[in-house]
Amino acid sequence: MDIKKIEKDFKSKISDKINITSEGKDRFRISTPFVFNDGDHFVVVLKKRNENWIITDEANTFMHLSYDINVNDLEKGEREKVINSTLSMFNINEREGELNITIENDDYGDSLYSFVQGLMKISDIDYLSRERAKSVFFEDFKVFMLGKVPQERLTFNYYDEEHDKNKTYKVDCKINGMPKPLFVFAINSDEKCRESTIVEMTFEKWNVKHKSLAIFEDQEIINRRAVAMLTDVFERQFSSLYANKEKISKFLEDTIIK
Amino acid sequence: MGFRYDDDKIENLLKEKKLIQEFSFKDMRSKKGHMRKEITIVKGDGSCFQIKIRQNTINPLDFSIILGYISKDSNGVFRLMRCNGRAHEHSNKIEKETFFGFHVHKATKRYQEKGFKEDTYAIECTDYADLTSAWSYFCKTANIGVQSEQAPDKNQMTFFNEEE
Repeated sequence: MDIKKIEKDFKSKISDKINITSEGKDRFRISTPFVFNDGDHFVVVLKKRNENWIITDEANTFMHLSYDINVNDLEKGEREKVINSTLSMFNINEREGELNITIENDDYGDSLYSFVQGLMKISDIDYLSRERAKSVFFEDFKVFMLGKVPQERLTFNYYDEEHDKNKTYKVDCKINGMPKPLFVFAINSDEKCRESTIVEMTFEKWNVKHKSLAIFEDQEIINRRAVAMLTDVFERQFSSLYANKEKISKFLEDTIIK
Repeated sequence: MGFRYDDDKIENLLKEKKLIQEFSFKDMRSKKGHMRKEITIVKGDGSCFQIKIRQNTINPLDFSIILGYISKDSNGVFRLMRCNGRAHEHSNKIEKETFFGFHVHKATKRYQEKGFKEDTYAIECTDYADLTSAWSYFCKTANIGVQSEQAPDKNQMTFFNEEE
């Protein structure tokens, strides 16, 4: 086995930044530039198993995912689908958490290419968790509001028909039935925080009589300046929907009966 | 981009005394190619620390011991510190440096502000050479002690989380 030739094949097929380091008999660590979102590089090892050469992650990828995700969740739902389709697409085998690809016809470069692509796709499951978490917050917000306020008094994604025919300035939830309706905004990002501030200021500019409430998913992760600007404009805010459900309920109860 | 905790707060959380019940690495459970253990320390104010231990069953030098913090107002884990083994390279994206060896990840304000994961910064560490010595280093750095059964800390409760 000519390891220098294999290294050259890796460099030409993938990147000049690929290096091979011997780590014992019939075992080589492959350094690649591909990383997880925390700066740790993928584990990629070329080694002999029985009579075949394989490229393997030695179970590091799933172990790394387990830092943020319950490993049992990798075996169900959307995550399981992504993993299974990725393994199939890139001809990767899984053996008790270890991902590996068998080298056939001395095709080292192409095998490494497929393997790394598969690892990148599987490691993206971490982002899938976060994207789903974002949409869950809005769902939770909606469910919470429906549980506290009679449905006939709620309008989600409200906009002012008189001033805003283009539906540009939307309020997440309007509660009517009071002399001044309550505009409620659900905030889970810097962008949403700034956008909500602009929407609220626009309604003020239009002299639309109302009260304003901001409910954060987690105010601690929002840019301080954005929060400061929102604070100057909004009448009331809660730093976390999940930690303040009782207080928000009380506030809504007191406000909507007036 | 915003940041959740600045460097002073991170350091204070690391230095805060944490008490856990004694346990053995032999009790770790195995799934998907690695052994694991999780410990939650609930504080009197409702926030908690979370310790996650992982060790690869194929390569014992591939391990990770993580200290996370969950504030009472949040539902996300903030990774304060992570002791990694010697199985992969690490790259610090801001400093543009790459190395291979035992290394310790630490949360920083600057990485949060750049939009990276809070513990993306790491430094090489020669203070440990396996999981056991890494655990000693971790406990010393994160001020973790074993709770005496006779004098439990009223302000903390420890739980071992078993994933099924």
